[in-house]
Amino acid sequence: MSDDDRALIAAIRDGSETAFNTLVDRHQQAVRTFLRRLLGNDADADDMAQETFLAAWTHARSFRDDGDVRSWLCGIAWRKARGAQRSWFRRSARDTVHHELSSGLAGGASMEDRLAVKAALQTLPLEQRAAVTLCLVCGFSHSEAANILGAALGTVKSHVLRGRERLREAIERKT
Amino acid sequence: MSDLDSRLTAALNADPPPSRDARFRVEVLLRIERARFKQRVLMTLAVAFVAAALVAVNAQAIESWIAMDTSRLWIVALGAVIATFSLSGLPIEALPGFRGVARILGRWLYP
Repeated sequence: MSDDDRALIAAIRDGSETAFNTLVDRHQQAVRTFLRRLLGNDADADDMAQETFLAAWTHARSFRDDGDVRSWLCGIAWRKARGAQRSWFRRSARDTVHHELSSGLAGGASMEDRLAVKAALQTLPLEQRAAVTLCLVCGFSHSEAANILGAALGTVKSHVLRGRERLREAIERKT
Repeated sequence: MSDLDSRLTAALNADPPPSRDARFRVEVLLRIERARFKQRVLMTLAVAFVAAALVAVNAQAIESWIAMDTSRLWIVALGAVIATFSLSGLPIEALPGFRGVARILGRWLYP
């Protein structure tokens, strides 16, 4: 963890909202990206990301000083997502795929690839999807992802390998 | 990296959220304020309930204590005024010193 992040957490523990704003600015993209890929619904993901930062503010003392802030935040997000799985996780993911993709910017990928990958991602089991997202999208190492998910390193490696294969197959089928 | 891998990476990383999003930050702060308000209301209700219960249980003792010397009524009135202001949360919001003391007490009780 950078000294800057360490100072931020210390200030947040003392109740500094300025430090908290900086923390949100710095890490919101990573948390939201993780949750968007995990849930498959941008609105629900952003809602849960806000809950994640609220929990970070409330439980700033639970942060271990030798840890990494981004991993800690993604860990909170993961626990929230897993907890909410039964209530509304699968509710509208498939329904909103087309709408969200068509409303977004094209980026570097073709629309067909993005549709195929997004749909295939939602067919993966939750933990596998989380492992794939953390390692292939958010840039975490396998061991960092294992820490975030509270899973064994071997399990995470296997999830990423199999998940990547499934996504590659989805693109190939579209070609 | 094969063409398939690069297409997969591009598709996975398409449409990221903005790197800075003031609206998102404001939404988070709103949630914090709502949580604080909820906590304050719950605390006020709990304290009010305990205070009311204490007064109800000791009503007779308070009455006889006042009857011994009617000037003690002023002490009771002062206590009631302080309790009313405290329950409304006004002193807590108005006096930074009070919050400081509460924070120190909190750290002492829950290190």
